[in-house]
Amino acid sequence: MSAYGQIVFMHMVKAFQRIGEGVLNLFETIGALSIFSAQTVRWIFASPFDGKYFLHQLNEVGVKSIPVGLVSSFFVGMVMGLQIGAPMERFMEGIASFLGAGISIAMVRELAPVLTSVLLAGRVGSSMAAEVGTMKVTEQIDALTTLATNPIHYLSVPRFLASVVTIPMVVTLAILVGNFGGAVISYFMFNIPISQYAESAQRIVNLSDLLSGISKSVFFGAEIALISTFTGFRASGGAKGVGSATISAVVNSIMMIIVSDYFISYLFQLVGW
Amino acid sequence: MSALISIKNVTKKFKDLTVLDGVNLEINSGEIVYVIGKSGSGKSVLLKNMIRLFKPDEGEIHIDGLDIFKLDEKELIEFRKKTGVLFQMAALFDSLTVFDNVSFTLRRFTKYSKSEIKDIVDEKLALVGLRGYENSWPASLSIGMQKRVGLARAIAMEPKIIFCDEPTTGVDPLLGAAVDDLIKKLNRELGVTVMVISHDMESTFRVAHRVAMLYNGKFEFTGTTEELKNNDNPIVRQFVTGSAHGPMSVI
Ligand SMILES: Nc1ncnc2c1ncn2[C@@H]1O[C@H](COP(=O)(O)OP(=O)(O)O)[C@@H](O)[C@H]1O
Ligand SMILES: [Mg+2]
Repeated sequence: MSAYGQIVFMHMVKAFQRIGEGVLNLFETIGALSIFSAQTVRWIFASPFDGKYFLHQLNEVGVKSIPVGLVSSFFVGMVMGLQIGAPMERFMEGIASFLGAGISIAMVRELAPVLTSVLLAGRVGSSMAAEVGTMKVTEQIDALTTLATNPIHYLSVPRFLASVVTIPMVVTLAILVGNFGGAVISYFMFNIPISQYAESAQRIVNLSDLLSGISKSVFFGAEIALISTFTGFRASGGAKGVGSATISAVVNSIMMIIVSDYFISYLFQLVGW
Repeated sequence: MSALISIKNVTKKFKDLTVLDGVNLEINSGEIVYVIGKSGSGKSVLLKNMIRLFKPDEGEIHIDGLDIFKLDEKELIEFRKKTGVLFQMAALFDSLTVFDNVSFTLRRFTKYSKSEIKDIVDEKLALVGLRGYENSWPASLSIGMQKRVGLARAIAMEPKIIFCDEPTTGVDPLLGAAVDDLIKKLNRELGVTVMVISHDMESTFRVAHRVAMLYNGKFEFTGTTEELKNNDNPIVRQFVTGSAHGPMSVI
């Protein structure tokens, strides 16, 4: 083999090694995240339950997310009305009176749950990862342990519960407000009375659609809390480490929401949702 | 009489770095033992093994007659309750006020009423000279104050043993002396056994009953402060006199 060939060969070996390490790291992380999730669920039922800290998390995760969730879903509802309504009208006049059906089904099944969760992954996930990550690098998590307190019990459980309880609530509000946005556009751009929008929405959306959309967001909420807290627990190396933990928590939560959305939707279709 | 704490042949490695290489030490009940050594010599790592935050690769640590790595769930909680830890950077919970930090375990694990807890927190804060700071946030305190709150939190449950990681580092000399007095007082009046990690020689001579010096993963010296003063091991001498020149490389 020529000298040049040898260099190329060595680089290829190194590249494969790096890919191999990457894959191993990924599996290690997924394994550790699964254990972390199982432990979080197990610790839900342990005492003592810190009610004050849980209320604080409900406020952080839920109440403070309402403005972000509602403003964006209102505009998404409006933009859908605009983008679907106008071409439909060009295709067949009067057909915009069915806008309520199109917007509401998309809102309920996909847009509100996924979009709101993605937004909250940014808002809630980053703050969870940064807060827990800071606690990790400043030895506050070690301090918890020495104060006879399991860090998963104290830090992960309330964040997990707050997310699975409040994120579906924010999504429910987003469904309502998103449809309101759609109705507003239907009324002002296509002269469709609100009652007609509502009637057309009611005709297409049934209970299983609502169940599908809202229960999906329970999973998304769990994913955000578990991934972000877990990433915070693994932060190391001072402020820089906290920064990169925060970024990867948000990116991985969003990716997980989008990927799992497909699988959850598929499973729900199997049971007829 | 057997020792309250006994460290037997403890080895701790991080990948290729051997930080502790067969460490032995006994601490008797009621003693104040200082572990000294230059930065990076493994003092904090030793402490973290003793409070179960790290597990040694080899060796055993017995505290109060029990192997601390073989405790069942109940024994572990008992172990946590009888040991208090002051971390090097205090490690106060920054989302909680000083009051909630100091009362953390009292609120979680005792049946004391609100007013009883308030009295205990008052007493502990008075002890560290910080009465009136109950509602402050840790971030608004100097590191010296944070460390004193950390000490108040560590002694809230009246532990039998306290571990202090560099209690006087980053604290001005007057406050350092006050922290030293506090440790002596806890030891004298409450009979608390104390292990202090330090490289503050003044504080060591003022407070310690016995001193152990960590060097190259082992104890280079173990003895009383008197013995430390008179020891003629060049490595020990260099550290005690604080000289940049000698057998121990400084940088
Ligand atoms: N969690 C860890 N992972 C890897 N190395 C560590 C870890 N903790 C400490 N070390 C290393 O162990 C050595 C001793 O550190 P430490 O005990 O903190 O020193 P000090 O005596 O100043 O307290 C240092 O070289 C440090 O880098
Ligand atoms: Mg240290």
